[in-house]
Amino acid sequence: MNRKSYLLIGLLAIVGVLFFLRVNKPGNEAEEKSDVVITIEQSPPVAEKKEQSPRPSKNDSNEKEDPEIEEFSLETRKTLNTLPTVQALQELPEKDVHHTPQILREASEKIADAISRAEASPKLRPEALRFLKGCAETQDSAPSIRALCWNKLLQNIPRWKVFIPISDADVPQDIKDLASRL
Amino acid sequence: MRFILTLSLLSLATAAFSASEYGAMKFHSSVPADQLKAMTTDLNYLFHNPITASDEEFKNSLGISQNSGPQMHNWLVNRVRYIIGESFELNDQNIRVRTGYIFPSTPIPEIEGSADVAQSAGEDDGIKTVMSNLGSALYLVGKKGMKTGNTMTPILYGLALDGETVYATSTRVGIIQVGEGLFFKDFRVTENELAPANSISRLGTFFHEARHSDGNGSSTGFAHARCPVTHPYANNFACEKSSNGSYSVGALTLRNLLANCGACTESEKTKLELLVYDSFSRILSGVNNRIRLGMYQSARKEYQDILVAYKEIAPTATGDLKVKIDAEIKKIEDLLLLIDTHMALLQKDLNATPAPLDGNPEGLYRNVSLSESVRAMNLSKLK
Repeated sequence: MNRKSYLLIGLLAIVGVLFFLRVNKPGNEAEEKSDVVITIEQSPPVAEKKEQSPRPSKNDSNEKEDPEIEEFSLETRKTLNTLPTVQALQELPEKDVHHTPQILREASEKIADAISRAEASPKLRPEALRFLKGCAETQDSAPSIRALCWNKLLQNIPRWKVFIPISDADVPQDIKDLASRL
Repeated sequence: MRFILTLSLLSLATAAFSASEYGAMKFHSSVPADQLKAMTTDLNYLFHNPITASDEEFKNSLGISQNSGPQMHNWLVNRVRYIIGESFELNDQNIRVRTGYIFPSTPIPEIEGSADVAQSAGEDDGIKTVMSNLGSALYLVGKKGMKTGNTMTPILYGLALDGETVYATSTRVGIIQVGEGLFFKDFRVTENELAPANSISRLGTFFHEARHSDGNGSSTGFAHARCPVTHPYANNFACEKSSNGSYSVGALTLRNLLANCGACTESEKTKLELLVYDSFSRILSGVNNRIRLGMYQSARKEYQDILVAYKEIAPTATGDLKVKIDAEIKKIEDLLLLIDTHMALLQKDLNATPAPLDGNPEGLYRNVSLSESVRAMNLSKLK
């Protein structure tokens, strides 16, 4: 081997070591612990939710590959796409709207289930927060559902110590006001 | 004299120990046993509620001096005296009519949507009655009267309830019809029908209906308002314009009981919170500045908690992420300053509109004192 070959092997070795250190840095192991920092780069797309996937981009390779996270993500995406809309509520007969309609109750159950799962499994928390943010931002969803999601988002960020930007959330003031009524 | 006194005491004791009476409420024979059991569980839960969190808005809206189980129970029994089941029919056999009764000469509110009778009408087409304030409906329909020639003749309506005729001389007669909807599986917050979370859910409906037993003149029965076209319940009488109507009372009751529910799971709480939001979303009047201030305080605390969490997270982050967290911290700090500015402005006029409706009832009714309702509850428990 000539001198250039040795140089190339040396460079590859350095890159390999750096890659190994990056993959195995303490921050990644901490993903499985309950009280550690987990980050979320961006919120799911919000406008015209029914037509597009609310799936957010991921910034963590572990999150992408974990089947439990993948399955949870699919579930929450499905929930997000089937949240009761204002239009669906407007189509209900009067007898069904005097007290809280069944479709809202069912949606709250799904939201509660998602939070419970994330509570039990910390690695699901970033996805759960993305879901809650996406739910609060869904423009054609029922205000009560959006308020519930916004409230749960604000409550769970400090509890779970997971970073997700909220200042950019596309949630109107009347929804935030409703959320503050609890 | 002694005989009469003894007889009176005996009849009082019999009434208190009767299967159809519990905690100063009379349950008609049409109420199924499982529903009766659930409702007596609810009354016990309410009466013995260990209130630790105070809710001024709830207290003010109900007009009770203390946020306690016995006071909440007393408020309820003054508005809900008779409970009848879904199978009870408003037919010639059960309805009593009297003419010549003189109703108060106060305005009559719009009857449509004022009393919750609509849901009880469709038993045959699979509709599940949740709860209906029949007493309020009978009073208002009777006061409006029947057209005879060019005049309206008021009619006093009554119901034959297990041998007792109860006339609707006021909305406070408190005849409530409950149905399977309240106890139906789909309406449960949790599987166990007698769990506290289900009691809270049912009590929210109870208090909602109880508010329909209040009001006078144009506020009689606290009529629901038609929801505006942009509302999720557009064009239905499922909203209210006042800040202290049935949806307010229902929401505040749920919120109060929820805040004091130590036995509720997080999942149950989430489902109950949805009920609170749904009720609040139907109130069209907005809130007064005192309540808005409370909302800002609540929001401020949440943002403050998030800020603390992000400041804890920030030192462990690196690179681009750290930049993003720092930027978010700055934005939340700015938001907190903005909230503080709004709060300072609100402080200047805490009692700004909207004004609540007058909840004082009209007509003839008997008030149940606190000591009376407490005694009735204690006697019922001995059963």
